[in-house]
Amino acid sequence: MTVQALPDVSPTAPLIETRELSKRYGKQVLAVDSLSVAISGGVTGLVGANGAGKSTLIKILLGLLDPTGGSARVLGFDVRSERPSLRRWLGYMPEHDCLPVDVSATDFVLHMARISGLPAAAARDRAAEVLRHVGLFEERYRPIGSYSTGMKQRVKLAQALVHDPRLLVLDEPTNGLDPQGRDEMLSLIRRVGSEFRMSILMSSHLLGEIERVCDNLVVIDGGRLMRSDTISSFVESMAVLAVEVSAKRDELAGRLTRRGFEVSEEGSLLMVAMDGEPPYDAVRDEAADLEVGLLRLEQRRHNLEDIFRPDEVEAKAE
Amino acid sequence: MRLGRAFVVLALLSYSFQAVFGLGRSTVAKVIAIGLAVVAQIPALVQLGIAAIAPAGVEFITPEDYFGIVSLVLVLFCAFTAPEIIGRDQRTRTLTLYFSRALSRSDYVTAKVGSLSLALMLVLLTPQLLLLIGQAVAGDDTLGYLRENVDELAPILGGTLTVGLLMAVISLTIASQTSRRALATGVVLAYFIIFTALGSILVETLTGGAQKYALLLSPFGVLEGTVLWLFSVRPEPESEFTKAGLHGRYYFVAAVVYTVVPLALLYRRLQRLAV
Repeated sequence: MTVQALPDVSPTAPLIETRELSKRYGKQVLAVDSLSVAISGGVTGLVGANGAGKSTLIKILLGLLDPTGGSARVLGFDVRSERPSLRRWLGYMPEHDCLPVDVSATDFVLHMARISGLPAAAARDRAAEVLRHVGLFEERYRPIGSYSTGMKQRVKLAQALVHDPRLLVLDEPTNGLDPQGRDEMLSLIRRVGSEFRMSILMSSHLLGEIERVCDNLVVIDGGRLMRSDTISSFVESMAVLAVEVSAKRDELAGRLTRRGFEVSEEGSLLMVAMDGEPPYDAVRDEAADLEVGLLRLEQRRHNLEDIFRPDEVEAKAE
Repeated sequence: MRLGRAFVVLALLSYSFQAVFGLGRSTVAKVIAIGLAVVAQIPALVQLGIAAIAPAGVEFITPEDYFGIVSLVLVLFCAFTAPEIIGRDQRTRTLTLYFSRALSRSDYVTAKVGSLSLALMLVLLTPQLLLLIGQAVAGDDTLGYLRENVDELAPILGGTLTVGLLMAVISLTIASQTSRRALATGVVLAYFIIFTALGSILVETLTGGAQKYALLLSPFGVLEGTVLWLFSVRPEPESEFTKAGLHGRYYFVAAVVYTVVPLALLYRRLQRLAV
């Protein structure tokens, strides 16, 4: 009665691959629009504003929704034609409430383990193990209805982990949590990724969270792919050199721009992009030529929040 | 190791079967479900009590009468438990977790129908078997009684299966339309009681062909007619069935239709339910 194994997937093959994937609701709403993306293992953040199409994309990948166009493969399985096989290897933590209130955490997680096909003894062991891992072992016999929001989120995570999936899909896992609860949940997710060696796709509209936890980042907006890359590439590409001079700031900015550097102003500072040739020599030479003093020369990097919210950054600087 | 689809369905069926009787639920849920199941056994226990003190052969209640006697208890049982085992998953949105696992929507329906049908069969079969065995033990010739009545076993099982499936499927189909427990309970009760009353009124007031088929509107009429047909028992001269004069096999065909059509609707409802 054992079930088919995971198909042979090359270690370099993408974990998730979509081609021209679309989902339209009625005639008006295009939630996912010709999205083609390849996501490899590790912890991947799926970022977009509310309504960007994150939850729709996740539901398509889980086989809960049919796409209206294109195709998607997860763990080598087609999301439309190979749903039952695919779902054995997926763990899903939805954004919304999904827990019965009058059942204990241990009974619920054990039940979910059995629904995932684990034999009774293995299900009991795994349920106890994951509840310990998420920090609910002491409270496991209490009805879920008596839990705090943070504890309920942990039960949701535990049920997603209990059958030892290859890919864990977390939809806004920190929703409704206070700052401390958020920190704890993010640490837990990071630990799951590293200790269980599980690939994770985590959606969030908060870039700060993604930056803390993820190795890769997929950004979508209006259902379309904006960018897909590693977190480090994102951050590197946004490195800047902050320059403060004693006078003639605008003239220096003009000269650097003419030499091919991308220069922006942030208060009294000039911010010179560092994604190409290092600008240090050019800044030194132009400042010397203009006979102005260099008061500050400092390498900075935007965090991910800044990358996607330039207006807010400028407003903050002013 | 992961077990296959049959095991997963069985796991959900077993969990839901326990939920029917309130196991792992609140005390109120346990009291109502187990209380109704116990009430359904009382007529059989009373008959056995009488058989123990009365002369041999006195049978006030026989297996073919049993469904008619406890039908209202069974409806109450369905009305309280069906919303608990199917509406609850919609209310708490646990369906999302089920359907993102290796459990198809049809598997879910199979498990839920299986759990409530089995529970109903247990509640209805136990007293009928008690009657059969109890009468045998109370009499002077136990083996002789069993030999004489062994042919009742097939209609007992057939009738119980028909009643269990039909009542479970109709109750679950109604309960799956809403996540509101009280509403679902009310509609299940209303359906069985109103349509049974309607069938009885029509058979008394109509004449000719319309009167003949009037009881097919009544879910209890259909089930009782099927049970009598399975036991090959001629209805009482003053009963609704005699007035209608329809052959018993038509009630059985209607019972099949009353099971298959709602079952198809239940599958369709769950297939289309957004999670």
